[in-house]
Amino acid sequence: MKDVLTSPLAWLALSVLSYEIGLLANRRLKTPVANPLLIAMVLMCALLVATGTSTETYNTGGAFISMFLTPATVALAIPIYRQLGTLKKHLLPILLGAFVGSLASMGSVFVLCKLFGLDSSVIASLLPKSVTTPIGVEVARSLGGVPSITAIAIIVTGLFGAVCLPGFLKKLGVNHPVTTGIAIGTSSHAVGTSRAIELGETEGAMSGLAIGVAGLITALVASVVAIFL
Amino acid sequence: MKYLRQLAILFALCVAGDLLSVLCAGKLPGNVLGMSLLFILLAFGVIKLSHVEEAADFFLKNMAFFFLPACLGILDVFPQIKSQLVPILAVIILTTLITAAVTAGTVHLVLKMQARRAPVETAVPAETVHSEEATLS
Repeated sequence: MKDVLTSPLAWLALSVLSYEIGLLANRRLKTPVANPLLIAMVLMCALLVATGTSTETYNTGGAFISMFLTPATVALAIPIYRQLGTLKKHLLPILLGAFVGSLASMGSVFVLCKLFGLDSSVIASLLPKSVTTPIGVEVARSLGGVPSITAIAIIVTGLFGAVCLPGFLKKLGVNHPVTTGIAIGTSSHAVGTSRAIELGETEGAMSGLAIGVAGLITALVASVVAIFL
Repeated sequence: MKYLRQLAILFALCVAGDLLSVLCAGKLPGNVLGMSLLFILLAFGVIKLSHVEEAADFFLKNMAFFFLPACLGILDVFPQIKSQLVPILAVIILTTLITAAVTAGTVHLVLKMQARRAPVETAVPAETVHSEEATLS
């Protein structure tokens, strides 16, 4: 039994299984709160704690999964390219919206963290929390943050955005699909976008484009900030 | 064989991104540079969608799964952030609302300016301009 649970393949298989359970629950429950990754994470945490397995042992298998994050990020160029027409048509609102929004995100994170007296490694981990995970995790690492805090913060941001932002934006009086889409994509990346797609085709496309632009802008701004740190 | 070739192209782009990252002293993440490189090569027709599409879609469709190990790292850092859990959650919720509001405000202003400057020839389609005016009234 012990040998089986220290095998990298066992943890690979269990990871896939827990994610499949998450996908199944998501399809059945039809609510953004039943996020497949969140469900898989809770299941795997429980399993690791219950079997007394360290994350170090888990990562003998888990590292193979993480390795594919880089090609997955590179693949993000595909949806941007597919939406090239939409991107050209609304270039200015997308660029300016994502740029100002990303600055507001990092600025407000910094100010609120200071206000709440959070320590600097937590601040660096939370700064890129509105962008897509592969970019955010790399940005956090370059700023001296803890990648796993960033990964969780990004998921919580996405979930909150998916559940609350459509209603919040409507309350603010926003009823233009372009505005709604860019706002959701800039503030809550792919998880928010999955909800924006349900609102409408324009909202979904705009939100998807904003993910890439906001990610790029955040990485650029962080690299400038890193020089001054 | 087709899928292997597509994977090889994506992996090569990852390596190229890492190389570029080293060249700019690691200030920009290699994955972002790899993504930009793929976009440029697609835009200039050096790489065709059909060269990478299926493998890329596999990664895109299952993107969230690849973050599972990173998320499980929470088990190692939880003791460190346990005492700061409430302020961290407050920061996440408040800043998400602020970001969405500021982005929406910016886009709203840009669309308004574009609609005013060139109501007909603007890049914004007619019906979009119309609904924008309806929003404003």
